[in-house]
Amino acid sequence: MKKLHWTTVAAVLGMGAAGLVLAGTIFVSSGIYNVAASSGHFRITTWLLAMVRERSIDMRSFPIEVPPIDDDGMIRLGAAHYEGGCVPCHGRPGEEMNPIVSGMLPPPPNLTEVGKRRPPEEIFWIVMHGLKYTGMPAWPNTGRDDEVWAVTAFLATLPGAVSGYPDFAGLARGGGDKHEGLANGRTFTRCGRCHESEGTGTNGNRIPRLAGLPEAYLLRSLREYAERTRASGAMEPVADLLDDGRMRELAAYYSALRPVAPKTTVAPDPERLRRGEAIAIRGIPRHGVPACLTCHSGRQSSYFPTLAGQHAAYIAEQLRLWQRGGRVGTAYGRIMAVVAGALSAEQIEDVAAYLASLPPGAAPPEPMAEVSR
Amino acid sequence: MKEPAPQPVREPPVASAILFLLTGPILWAGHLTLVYAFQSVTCAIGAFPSAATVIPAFVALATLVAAMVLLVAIWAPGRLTRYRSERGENQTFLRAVSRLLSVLSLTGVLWTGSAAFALDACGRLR
Amino acid sequence: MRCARPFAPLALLTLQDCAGVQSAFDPSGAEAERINVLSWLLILSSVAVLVAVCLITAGALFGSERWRARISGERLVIGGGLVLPILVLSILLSYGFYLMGPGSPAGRADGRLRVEVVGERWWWRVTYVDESGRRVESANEIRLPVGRPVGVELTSADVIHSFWVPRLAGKLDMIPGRTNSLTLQATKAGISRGQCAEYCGGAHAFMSFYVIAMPEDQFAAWLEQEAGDAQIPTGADETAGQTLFLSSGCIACHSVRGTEARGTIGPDLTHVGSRHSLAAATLENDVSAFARWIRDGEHVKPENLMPPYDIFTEAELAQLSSYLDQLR
Repeated sequence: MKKLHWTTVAAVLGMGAAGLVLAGTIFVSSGIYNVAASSGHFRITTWLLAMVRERSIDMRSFPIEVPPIDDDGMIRLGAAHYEGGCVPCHGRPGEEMNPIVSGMLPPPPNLTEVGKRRPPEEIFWIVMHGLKYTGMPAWPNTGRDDEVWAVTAFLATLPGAVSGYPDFAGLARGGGDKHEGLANGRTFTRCGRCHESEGTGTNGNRIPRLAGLPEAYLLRSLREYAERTRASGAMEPVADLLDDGRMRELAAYYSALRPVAPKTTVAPDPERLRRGEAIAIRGIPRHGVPACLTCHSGRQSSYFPTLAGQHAAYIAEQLRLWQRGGRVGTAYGRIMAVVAGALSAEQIEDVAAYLASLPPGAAPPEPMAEVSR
Repeated sequence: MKEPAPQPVREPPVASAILFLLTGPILWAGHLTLVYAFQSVTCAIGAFPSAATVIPAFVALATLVAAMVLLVAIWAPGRLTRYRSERGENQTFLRAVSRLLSVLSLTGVLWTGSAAFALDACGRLR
Repeated sequence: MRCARPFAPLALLTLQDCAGVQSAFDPSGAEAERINVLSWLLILSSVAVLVAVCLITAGALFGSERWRARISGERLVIGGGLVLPILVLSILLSYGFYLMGPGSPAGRADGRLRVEVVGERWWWRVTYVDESGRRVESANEIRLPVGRPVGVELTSADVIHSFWVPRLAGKLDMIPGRTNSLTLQATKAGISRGQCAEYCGGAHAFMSFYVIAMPEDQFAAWLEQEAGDAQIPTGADETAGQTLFLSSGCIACHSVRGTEARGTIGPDLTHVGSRHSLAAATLENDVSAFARWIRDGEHVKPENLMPPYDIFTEAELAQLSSYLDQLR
């Protein structure tokens, strides 16, 4: 064969490329490709999409470190959010998917067994980021790792605990609550599923107690969730469905509700309580940490929440959220960011344990006169 | 018959020249270091009652010793450090410079020593 | 000692005179006056030596044979290198001994008044201790009686700071865990400005203070007033401002004697309205400065440790400011 000149090769390649572009243009603009969900994918398309999806999830979830997720409070928070935010597409565990949703392509998978199929870091990644080319949305904000881990914890334990779902998700809670079905009966706004109602406590210790909190604070919080200046994947969809009048009603209701004494399963370490009391009543002047109870005892502005009797796990998680750079979308949050930033991990646990041990609703002891430095 | 190659002139190393010239300032520096260190450490570890006598006594002793060594350096510059150059006039110049520097160093040592008697040993001067 | 007139060429360059509220060349304190005299002595004699050496060098480079022979002779070396330095430095040393010796003109603090200054990031905690042991806490400003030597105890609560009032004295470091002592004696009534002179973090450049020297009787009256509790607000705005102040978390860090505000983390605000400046001499002391500090503190003094407080409406800020301003 005589030697090929480079111009010949270039001409052939060029014509090949032009041919591909032409074919592609015809394919794209002629509408010959059927995008109907009803007719399904070609087998090769399904295989390709699944391969790309799985490899991508695997690679991106690889560096994620999984925290301890067998925590009852986390599972309940995750389940309660699942009931409002995930059930419309994924269906309740053990129930049939509804006809509308089963027509999606790809259909939302039944998540009852996902805890067996996927490791927790992959579940976390999918819930946090959503999936392209599907209907799976990303978490409404980027800072709330703690909430996504709660949903992950729930999904990870679901395979062995399907029968426990109604209890975890609080399906039976809040029934007879006059605020049930507030906005056209949507499950989201049955506050009693997660928070307290008359005579009942919260659904787990990761859900904040609202009974007895100042009304102005509760209203401010709902508004901030609705305006999305306060990030919470669990509460933003809820607040979005409420109008201002409903928010005022709910704030008044919860402010007037009598707090229920918490059931203490594990007695806190007295040394930890002693250290926490020192921080809450005297602060840590050397590090610029004011005494918590100076502002949070209910004697200051009613825009500041009272912390007596609040769940220790919730307080600790919120302080850590401030340390991660969260909750600074509001002016009030920016005040606490400075205080939380000055606490060590041990001090967070101590002060959360102490504040949780105070009887809810009672005026805590007067903060001591600051010891002169 | 070829002439024998001229002998190369071997100069002593430069370091010994510097040492010879700077005999005075080196002694002055050593004296100052001793006096400063002693006073600082003694005052820092606590002003015990005898500081007022110990410090002047030590300074006086150090000054006396340094002064005597410097007098030797002035009178006979070659006694303490050795430097011999081949060229004669260099030797005169180097000895003269060494002597002059030693005289200056002697006054420096006396200044430092006199401070021990003019001022409080561990006085707070502000 | 006024600015030396021989420096006319230099004076042309810097058209302002040496006076200034923070100028070491305009002393109004005993130690600063001694430093000033010594400084000018050294400056002038050093300049004289410099000029002489330059002339000799010029002569050595460009001079005639006769001049060069004179310069290279032994007399110049012995005279200018041995005799002259020994003479001049011995005189200077004796003068130094005279200044620092036991019978020196430096006054010693007589214990009637002591001022403890603790350096914080980035403000000054000032406590006046009189002879009866009564402690009066203030912040960011020091007031002194004229003519009386006052002992100043310096320490730090966190990192190394340094206390420097050029018109009154030299610098002295404030070191955590250690107390350094300084004697300040104001010789003239008036205002001096001081500064932190050791880098202590981002807002170090904004850590300054004023020292106000007053005649003895005025000082005694001022100290009595400073020791008292805060003024009770009278107007509607001021009362509303006090309610805001006491309920918005301010009391967790600040104190106002006479109210339930007893915080020790931030500066004492009992008589903040009567200070010469705010925020460690960063802002002029007027009503709007309070509002500016509360709302925009992070922009006035970046990285300062007070949390950002933009939770107030304009009207509330105005009420708070008028309350703080009337705390005189």
